Order: sequence, then structure tokens, then C-alpha cells
Amino acid sequence: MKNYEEMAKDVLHRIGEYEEEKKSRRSRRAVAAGAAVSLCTVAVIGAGLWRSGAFAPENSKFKADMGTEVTEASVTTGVVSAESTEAAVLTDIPQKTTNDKVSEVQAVSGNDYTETGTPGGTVTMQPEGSDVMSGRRIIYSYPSYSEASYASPENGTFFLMREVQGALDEYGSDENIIYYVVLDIFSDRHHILDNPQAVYKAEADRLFALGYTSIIETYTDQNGISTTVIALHATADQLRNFVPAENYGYAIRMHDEWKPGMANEPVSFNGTGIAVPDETKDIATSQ
Amino acid sequence: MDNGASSYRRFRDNGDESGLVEIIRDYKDGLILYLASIVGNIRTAEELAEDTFVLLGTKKPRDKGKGSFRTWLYTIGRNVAIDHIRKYRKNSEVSIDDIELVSEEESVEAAYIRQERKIIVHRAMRKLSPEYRQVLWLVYFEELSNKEAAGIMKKSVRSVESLLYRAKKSLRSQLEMEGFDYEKL
Repeated sequence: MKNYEEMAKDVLHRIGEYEEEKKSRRSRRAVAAGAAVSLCTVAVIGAGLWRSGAFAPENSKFKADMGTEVTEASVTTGVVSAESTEAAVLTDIPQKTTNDKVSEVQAVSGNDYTETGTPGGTVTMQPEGSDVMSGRRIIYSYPSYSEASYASPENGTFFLMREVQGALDEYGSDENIIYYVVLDIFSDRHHILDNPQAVYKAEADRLFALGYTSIIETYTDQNGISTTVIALHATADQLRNFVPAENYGYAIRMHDEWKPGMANEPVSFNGTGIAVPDETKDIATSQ
Repeated sequence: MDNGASSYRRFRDNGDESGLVEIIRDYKDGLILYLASIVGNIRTAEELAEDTFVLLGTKKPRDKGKGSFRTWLYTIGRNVAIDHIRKYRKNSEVSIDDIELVSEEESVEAAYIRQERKIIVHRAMRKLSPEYRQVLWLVYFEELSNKEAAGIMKKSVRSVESLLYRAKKSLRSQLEMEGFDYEKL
């Protein structure tokens, strides 16, 4: 048994330990509270900056206005050359593994054509065994600042629209760059608009045989009116050396149109402001 | 107000540790024996008494001043003991026949009770139930009134009177069995 002095000593020692622990807890709590306050402050400031748009990429406005998105792809980068001060939308395309001649029928993102209609389907014809889109970037839009006013191509000829030429000038012949274009097909300088499916199918087969990835896309608007286009995934060389059929003329344009008017205000792309020139009505050069 | 109250006030209000030491000196043995009447183990009772003093030193509870400091201290000690019993219910009943523990208790008895006659009674109390031991300790050894004992044991005065009556009867029987003449005690 302890005598009272021993017990008093033990009691006072335990009381001291308790007081120390209490102080330590208090200081830990103060540190934790300080950290929590700091975190909250940072979170509040961050949320404020985020909501104010300070963290938004500078080209986000451009992308939003473009509203373009390719099936199974995501918009990733945009580049502006100092010389042209023009912008483009680039897309990384995931690998496609289809080998059939008519490789797939799939829905296309409705975001692409919100103004013109809803997609009805796509038929893609891709060379067998090829993996042309794997690891490549696709360019499907380029600003042109011009209205679509041009002379109809004669049979056996083609021309590249101004924006296609601009994209080719900027992105060049790199094999990893794929241009996503649409063909306007003319017969005797008349645009084939009535029931073009048979023509498009034949053209898709022909171009496929020439090594292109040809795509027939059909969109149906809210009124049930369908629109069909024939599109290509092509390299720069394939575009420049396009082989027209003798009985058709071709106007080749970017898959998605882009005009300054599509943005509500002058856009900045990759940190470079885009100068919007006076509207021109130049006829695109044909090759 | 007894000395314990003034010592405690010095400790609580002025941080005078000697006040707490004085309390331990004056109340330690009585508290241990009282707690032993609850837990039936003198060593556990000592630990609980120490816990009671530590509680006084850390929580610094306020004495409401309704009774004596000792009554208040024993009430705190009893609560500590009951918490201990609840926590270690299975092991709370330790044999009081343990020679070493009895020896320790006897040393406390000798120091605290002093009178041989009372020591004999206290030893006879070991065979009684905890409630009988408690009430006998508080009334007979600590010389508290029935009302004070009722306050500590959280019982009504009438209940304590009844309990005390039965405890005395049981104690008498126990003393007679051990060959003591109860009337002479």
C-alpha cells in the first residue's frame, strides 16, 4: 500500500500528464482548425475563380461555338499559325479495327448538327486491314471568312474550298494529319441534290478502291427531312491529288463549317487572337 | 465546512498543490476502506481512491456545499468505483481471502481505525454483502448520519435505515459465528 506521500506524488504526476495531453490536444486542434480554415479559404477562392472563368481554357469559347465533335473522338488541340492567324479544330481519333468493306454503321454525335438536324447514320468504308486513324489527328474544321460562293466545277475537275486549302497550308502533308472533308458532287455543273444516295454509294466504292476512307453520312432533321453527304478521311496528298470521276465535278470542303459569325465575339485560340478580316467572296482556287 | 473543503478550494482556485496533498493525507485511508466495501478488494480500492483524487485534480468539480467535504468525496469515489465495476464486471469480485490483500487491508485498518474493537467489527464485515458493508462503514466507522450515508449511496433515508438495520443484524450473526460477544463490542 502506498503512503499518502507516494499517492500524492502519483496523483500529481497523473494530473500533470493530463494537463500536458490537454495542451497538446488543444494545439493539435488549433493546427487542424488552421489548416481547415486555410483549405476552406483556398476552396472558396478557387471556386470563385472557377466560376469567374479564370481557369477556363482560352479556346473553350471557340470550341463551344464550334460545337463539333467527331464520333469516338474528342477535341484536343487547336493551333494557330502566326502567319495565317486562323484556327482549326483537331481531334485525336481512337483506333478503329474494322476490316469489312462497309465497316460500320453507327450514329454520329448529335452535337455536330444541332442546327440542321439529327443524325440518321453513317456508313464508313475503310481500306481493309488499314489502321489509318490510329494515333492520328483529324482536322475537320478551319476558318475561311468567306461565303460559299463559287463556280460549279466541271465534270472531271475538283477544287478545294478556301478553308481546306488553309488547313493544308497550315498542317501540311504530315501522315499523322487526317483531313475530314465533305464532297459536294456536281454533274454537268449541277449539284446533285435529288436522291444522291446511289451516286454517293458508287463514289464511296470508287474512292475506297483508291485508298480513301469514305463515309456516307445521313442526317434527319426534326421535320423528318434527310440529308446525305459523302465524306472522306484523307491525307494531304490524297486531297491534293484527288482523282475525280470523269462524269462528276467536286467541291471539297471541311466537314464542319466554321465562320467568324459562329462566334459571338472574336475568339482567342491557343492564346492568339484571331483577326477577323473583312468578308470576302473569293472563289476558292481549283486545282 | 471541514478542512478538506478549504484545502480543496486552495487547490482548485489557486492551483495550490499542497491543498490536494492535504486532502490525500486526510482522506486516503478512509476512502480506500470505503471503496473496499464496494469492490471487495483493497488493492483495487486503493487504485480507485487514487483515480478519485486524480479526478479531483483534473476535472476540478465544484462542491455544492450541501454536505461535508468527506461526504462529497465519498460520493465521487463511489461513482468511480461503480464505473469500475461496470467496466470490469466479470473481474470485480476478487476473493477477499487472499492473504496478501487481507494483510494490506489490515495495515490500513490499523492506521485508520486504530481501535481494536472496531477493527474486529470491520473484519467481520468482509463476509457481508457490499451494501451492508457500505452502510456499516459509512455510519459506524465514518460516523456519518443516516442522511449523509443516504446521499452517498444514492438511496432514501428510510431505505438506508432499513438497510442499516438488516446490516447490523447480519453483522451480529457473523460476529457470533466467529465467537465474538456482540454485546461487548
